[in-house]
Amino acid sequence: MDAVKAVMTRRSIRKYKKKDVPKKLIMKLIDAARQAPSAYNDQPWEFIVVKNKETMKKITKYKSKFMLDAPVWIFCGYNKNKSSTEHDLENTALAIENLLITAHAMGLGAVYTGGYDPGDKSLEKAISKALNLPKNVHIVSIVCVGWPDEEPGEKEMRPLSNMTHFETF
Amino acid sequence: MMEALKAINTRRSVRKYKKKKVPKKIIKELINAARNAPSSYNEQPWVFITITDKEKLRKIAEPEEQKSNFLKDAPLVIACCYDEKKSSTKIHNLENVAVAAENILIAANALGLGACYVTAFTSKYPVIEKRIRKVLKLPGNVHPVCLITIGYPDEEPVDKEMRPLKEVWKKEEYV
Repeated sequence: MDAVKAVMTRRSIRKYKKKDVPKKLIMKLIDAARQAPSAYNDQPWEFIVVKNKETMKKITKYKSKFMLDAPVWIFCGYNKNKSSTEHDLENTALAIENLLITAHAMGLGAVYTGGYDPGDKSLEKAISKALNLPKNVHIVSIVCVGWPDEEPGEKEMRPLSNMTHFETF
Repeated sequence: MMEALKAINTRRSVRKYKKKKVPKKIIKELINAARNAPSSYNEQPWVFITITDKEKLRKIAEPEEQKSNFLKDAPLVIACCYDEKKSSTKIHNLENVAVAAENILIAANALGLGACYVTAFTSKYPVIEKRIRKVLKLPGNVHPVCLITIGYPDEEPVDKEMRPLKEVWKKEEYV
């Protein structure tokens, strides 16, 4: 798929077919994610791929139920031991967008869901426990991936002119 | 036209640009790409300010950190910001803007442009953000996240050292 088209037509997919996602495609997703830029080229990211439903169930207690139907979850996070800056959140988010676009370009559907909430640590704790995370690894997002079983509706978008400013705000 | 995976996997930071201007039509396409990114609750809290005025770029680039000196020579800079008035969750603004910024970087590469993501804030040098705020006349509710420098590439980016795939890819559990 053309790159610009892939970026423009990517939409969040929350319904998936019961078909598994081959390891080769998962590898392509993570390979694309790690090509993102990062501050000082730290590449502080880590990706934990989960297909185990038992692990998923421990997390969906704190998340939306649709996620359980996704054949694959990719926990995207950063490793403080690999990072020399305060830009870990942005670095990881850049990598995640690569993953989402690649998924779409390969015919998969995906959605970016939050992996932490500063106001309520219970999700973070459940994730840490389920994945056996060391203290230095922080999850930013759980990306659900699968073969789409829905046509995403048109999303309401703020008009271009409303968010674009020339020279000054 | 460039295939999506190729555009993502060949994108590298480009910091040297030809003097040629970036046409307005292309700028529009870059911002269109950015705003198609996902955001928490579809709030789209982002704001993009395009800067081509050399005087402004010079003022922003006065370097505490020499490394971002190339900014003043970019034919185009897009300041990617979030507007906290557009955001109810507050917590995911940085991520939302970064995701949109990556779309700009990928689209730029696919369209034959070179670009580089330069952070707009650092606690070590708060003056950088202050200067950006002043030059771009940002109201208090609008926060700059990054400046993307863009132009037609005048360098071949060198291969970057990358952490191996097997080091960043874990299965089922971290350890």
